[in-house]
This record gives sequence, structure tokens and C-alpha cells, in this order.
Amino acid sequence: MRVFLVEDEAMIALYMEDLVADLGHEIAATAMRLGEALELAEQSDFDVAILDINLAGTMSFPVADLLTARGVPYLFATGYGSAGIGPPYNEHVVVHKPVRAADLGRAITTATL
Amino acid sequence: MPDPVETMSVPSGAFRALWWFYENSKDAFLLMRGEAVERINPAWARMTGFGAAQSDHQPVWRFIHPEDVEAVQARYRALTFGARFDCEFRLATSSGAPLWARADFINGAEDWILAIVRDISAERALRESERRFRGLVNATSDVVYRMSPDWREMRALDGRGFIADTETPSIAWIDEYLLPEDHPAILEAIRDAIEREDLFQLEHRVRRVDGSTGWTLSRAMPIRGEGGQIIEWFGTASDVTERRQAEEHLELVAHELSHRVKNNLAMIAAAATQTFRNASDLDDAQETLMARIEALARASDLLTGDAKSGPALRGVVAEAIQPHCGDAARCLVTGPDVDLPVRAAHAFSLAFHELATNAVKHGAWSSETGRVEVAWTAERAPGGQHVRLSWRERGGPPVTPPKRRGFGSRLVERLLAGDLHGKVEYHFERPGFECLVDVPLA
Repeated sequence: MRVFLVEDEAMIALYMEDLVADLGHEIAATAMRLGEALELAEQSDFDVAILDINLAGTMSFPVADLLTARGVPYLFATGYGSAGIGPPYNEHVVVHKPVRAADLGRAITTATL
Repeated sequence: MPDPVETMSVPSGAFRALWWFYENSKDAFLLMRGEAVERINPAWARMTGFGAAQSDHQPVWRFIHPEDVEAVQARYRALTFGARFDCEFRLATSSGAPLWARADFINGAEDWILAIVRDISAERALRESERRFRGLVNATSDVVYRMSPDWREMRALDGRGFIADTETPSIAWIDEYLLPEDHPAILEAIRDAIEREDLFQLEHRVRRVDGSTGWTLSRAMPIRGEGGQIIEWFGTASDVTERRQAEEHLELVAHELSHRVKNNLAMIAAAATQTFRNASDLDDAQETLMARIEALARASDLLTGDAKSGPALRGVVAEAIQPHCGDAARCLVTGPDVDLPVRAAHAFSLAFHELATNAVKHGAWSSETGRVEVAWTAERAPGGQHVRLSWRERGGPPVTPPKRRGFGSRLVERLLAGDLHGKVEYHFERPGFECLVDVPLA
């Protein structure tokens, strides 16, 4: 599967990229800021997106909205508890940081069912 | 002039009735001739504890508290035939405890003066208490309110500028002061207090004078009538808006902190995973990981530092490479003063750590003589400035391009190109490894 990653911490982004590769998927693009994420979400070709919620202080929900409009599935990877995610986003799969490979694998499968 | 008493004609029946009244009255009667007590009644004996034996023919002043004598005396001596006055003073009693009394002094005939004396200690105590209460109500900055026994009607409210005053009874107070979504909980608490006939206490939201929403701690007690039934509720409400806001802010901070902690743990987990993945052996992995965690800790300090003046690029570079190269001669840092936004400082700090680690392992600092030259220029650019920075290794072992891209170089690229939207170039040629960075700073 082709994965679009949105993650503002460079160290975690690299880790997630490797995790995605280990799971047999492919990184289509990585964005670290909201503006960049919105651009890439519209232009890139991918099957599923992994969204960090807090991007250097701004929330990534506009990216989620754009993906919903495009009909592309996504999941959240966040340090916030599930309580930090309100409707309609709380219907989506959430993996909690620090993320483990098995959890991410399951989440990708569930999100793209 | 003949004594009017002697000449007064009083029917004997009426005289007996008056005499009976004098003897049996609840008010103390004191008959004076001049300034000496001529006759007392039983009520006087009960009130003061002084019977006829102790009272008769004594100067009246003996029965007045020394401090009050002067005031009473002045008016007493000014009394003319047919005149009267009343005053409050303390009676001296046989027990020694002064007793507050109000007396009516009537000059009924020549030098005959009658005093009708009432015990007003209870009334005085009530007045004192009321005065204290008024003082308290005036001194408190709290909202003071009165409610009907069933709380349907607000009888009065002094809002102290926190919420709007009302002098007229209002049954619309609930809509006026409370937010609709809070009604059920507040009405439930009121119902409960009415049922218990005891303290109402609740912290709830209120509409403030300026239209904004505030928080109040409201407490009310039932006031009972003679028969024990509740005649009204009397309450005070403190403005606890600031405290509530502080609590809410704290909650937000705690939430944010929890997020940051998890984010930091995620970074350490990422660093650990990447380190082990790329390490040649366990010792190497342990050392590299510890160094990375230290670098994360240093970078984290930059995020929480004083935001007004950003950290200086020179300081960030020096701090990041200092643990790897203690010899200043092998580490030349030159460039103009540049203040970094905290986010950029964080990225530079981690990036320099990776570059320095690489220099120690494979580059200039792996040999005895190699050195690193860090130099930069800064230019004004639209919306900020542009920094061009070079990391040049000289005098080290011959350079060979790596067989595969290491985590360190990917991280540097991510930090400076991805995070800061800059450009990063690596050159693995003679005379030494070079990393050229081009970063816009907002």
C-alpha cells in the first residue's frame, strides 16, 4: 500500500517511514507542516494516510477533512489521549505514540478495510 | 405654691387601680423626690436585684453606671414640672453586671419624678448583631442575595459589580443569572437544600454584568421565623471566575504536557529503534543512543527557553558539538550573530549532533589532526532571513561515499530540509566531507 505520512518531528517521521517500509508498505510522501500536508494530500497518489494531530502547534484536522472529501482513508498517530479527538474524527482509527510496528500494521489494515 | 399632689383630687377606686398597676407592672417603676429614691416597685427589685431596703432614700445615681451618670444627670436636673425625657443607659445591678435599660423620666409634680425603666439588653444585643451583620455585608465583596422559602422568587440581590443588582423581587432570576444548560443541576441542588432545610452550596456558572460567563461559589442558609418555619434563604456568592480559569488553564497545560511527554518518549523510541537498526555492535549502539538522548535533552531545553530573544546560532552550534570535540583548535566556528526561532534552534541542535557524531566515527575527528570548520552567512530575505551554512571537514582520513544512507544523514536532511524547508547537500570528496545547508528563517 502507498502511505502518506504527516508528522512534524523529524526523528519520529524517519522512524514511522521505516516502520511503514518494514510492514511491506511504501511511503508515497511525507509532510511535516500543515500547508505542505494540505498540498501533498491533494496532489499525491496514495492509499492511506497517517496523520499526527499536532503539527508544531497547529492541528492537522484540515488534512483529515480534505482526505474525507477525496475519499481516502486515514488514521491518526498521536501523543494525545483519545479524549483529545472530538467528532467526527473520533470515528477514525488512532494509534498512540510511541507507535509499535504491530499496532501500526493493524491500524493500516483496519483503516483501509 | 401648693404641692399639686396634695391638692389633686383622685377618686379612691382609680387610685387603688393605679396603685395595683404600679405594684404589678412588668416595667420597673422608680419614684423619686428630688434626686432620692422614694419608692420602688417589685419589677425594679427583680431587674436590679436591689429591694426597697437597698433602694429607698438612696440617690438615684447609685443605680446608674458611673460612665452614664453625667449624661442622665444633666437632663434630669433640667427637667421642669410637666416635662419628660427618655434615654438609654446602663443600670448598676446587685450582681455587678451592668444592664442596658431605657427609662422615661417624668416630672409629674414639683420635685416628684417618676422613672419607668425597661430592660433593653435583648434589643441592644439584636441591634449589635444587626450592626455587625450590616458591617459584614458591606465589607464582603461577595454577592448577597435573599430568596423566598421555595426559591421561586429572588427578593433582593446586591451584585457587587459582578452580576446585576436587583431590588425588586424577581421570579425570572433563573433565566436572568443562570445559563440554560446549567439549570437542571442547579435546580436539583436547590431542591435538595429545601428538602434538607439546610445549607445550599454549589459552584456554578453565572451571567456577569458585562455579559460574559463567570463562576461563582454560592452558599445560602435558611432563615427561620418565630414558629421555626423557613421564611427566607439568605445567601452569598463569591466570584471564583479567576480560580476556575486558572484551574482550566492548568488542566490544559497538564494535557499539553502529557502530549509532549508522550511525544518525547516517541522520539526516544524512534531514536532507539533507529540506533539499534544501524549499529555495528551493542556497545556502539548504547553509546550512540545515550548521545542521541543527551542531544534530545539539549534540544528540548531550547524549546522551553526564553522565547523573546531566540537562541543564538553560534551558541546552538557550540553546545551541540562541544561534547564531541573538546579541542577548540579542531573546531572553527565563524559567522555573524543570528537569532534562531526556537523551532529552528531545535532542528539545528539535533542536526549538529548528528554531524558531529559522524565526524567522530568516520570523519575529521576520527583522526588525530582533522578539524571541522563551521561557517555561515545571513542575508535578509522576504519575511525573515536566509542562512547559508557550511560544515567542512578538513585534514581527516580520505573520504569515501557511504554504501548506504545512514540514519544520521537522513535525520539531518529531515530536520533542515523537511522541518525548516531548507536545502541540504552532502559532498563526499577531497579535501573532506562537506554538508551545505541553505535555510530560510521566519
